[in-house]
Amino acid sequence: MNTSRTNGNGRLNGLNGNGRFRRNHRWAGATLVAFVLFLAITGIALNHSGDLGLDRKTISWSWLLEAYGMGAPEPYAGKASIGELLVVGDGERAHVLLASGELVESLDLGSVLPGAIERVGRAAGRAVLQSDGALFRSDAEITSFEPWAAGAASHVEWSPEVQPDAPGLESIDTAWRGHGLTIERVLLDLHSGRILSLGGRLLLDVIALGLIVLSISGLVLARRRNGNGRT
Amino acid sequence: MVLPRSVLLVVLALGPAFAGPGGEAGRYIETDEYLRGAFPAAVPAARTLWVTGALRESVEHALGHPFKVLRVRYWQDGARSAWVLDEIGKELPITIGVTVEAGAIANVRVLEFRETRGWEVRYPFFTDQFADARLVDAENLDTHIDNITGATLSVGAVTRIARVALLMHEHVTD
Repeated sequence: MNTSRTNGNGRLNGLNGNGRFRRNHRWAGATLVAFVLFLAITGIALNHSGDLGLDRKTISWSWLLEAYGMGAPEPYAGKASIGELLVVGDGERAHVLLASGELVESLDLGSVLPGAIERVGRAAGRAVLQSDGALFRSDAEITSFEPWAAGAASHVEWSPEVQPDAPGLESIDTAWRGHGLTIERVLLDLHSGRILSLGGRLLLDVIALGLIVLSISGLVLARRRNGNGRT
Repeated sequence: MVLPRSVLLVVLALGPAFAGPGGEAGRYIETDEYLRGAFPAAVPAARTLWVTGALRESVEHALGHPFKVLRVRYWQDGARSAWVLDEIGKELPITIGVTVEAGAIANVRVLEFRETRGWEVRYPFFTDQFADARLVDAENLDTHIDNITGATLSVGAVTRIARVALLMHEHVTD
């Protein structure tokens, strides 16, 4: 149904056009008010994050840590003592530590292994890894791993899984898992929309555009109101 | 209330864009691929460098914090060396490849980025700034590196690792 009416000069009837405009303005304002409050509150908190200690307080919600790729670490695949060195299997990395707990090196074996390390063991003074069912053996200094076809026929002393908080492995955590997720980081990502990746930023762009349109429509309504002699 | 089919389609299409805070992070270049680019003729065998004594002091001076490992891997062919090093930007390590030729940086590439912010350092517009940079001292390059707004900590991490790679190159080629 067409509700618009025109006067003798073909112009829109003021009451109907104005009413629809005002209704749309009100609807848009009600929709955006939650976002404005959200941006204002997170903005104030970020402005004072140092005073509030938000840059030091960390979050321990497991679902949020998972989303940030900082979830509770999986148990290590195992560990093997080779002379004065300790080898720990972690995903596609083999961490090499001194007996004192100092981290010697984290070997990135992504281009050597077919997948994550499943088991860690030792045989004849060398570290042995199992990945996707295949065996890989280290050199004497544990600087590299190579496929070990003959390993199937050898006796390998396999290690059970190791919990990440096991004593002596703290240096791995320090080097690879950082210092936790701060409240400031989450607030920044919420405020900027990055918490939802590209979509979040686009959403924030849409909200910002909505606020611009709302400001202009508010000015137009105020002008029309004043034009009608109302205050 | 039943949502119109068009709305559902839009939501499904935009799903990946709302993947979560880690959406931009990832492994961009495998170490092998980076090394093949650094040594097109043939990738030399990996060597190890123990970071101890005066070298460790210089490295920690360049980093501004303790160096977390005792041994690093590098690849060298004459005056050219390549280094794959990790440095924490804000919360998680960034894996960075640096190739040095005769005391000057040949290239810098971000191999893996694990954090949710600052991943812009992976792009050539940033990493190309390091080309031909040399060390003035442990804390300074002879080239100014422009910051990226919102990625300051990642820029700092890549710059520190560039200095460390130059220091280590100096050490192994002296």
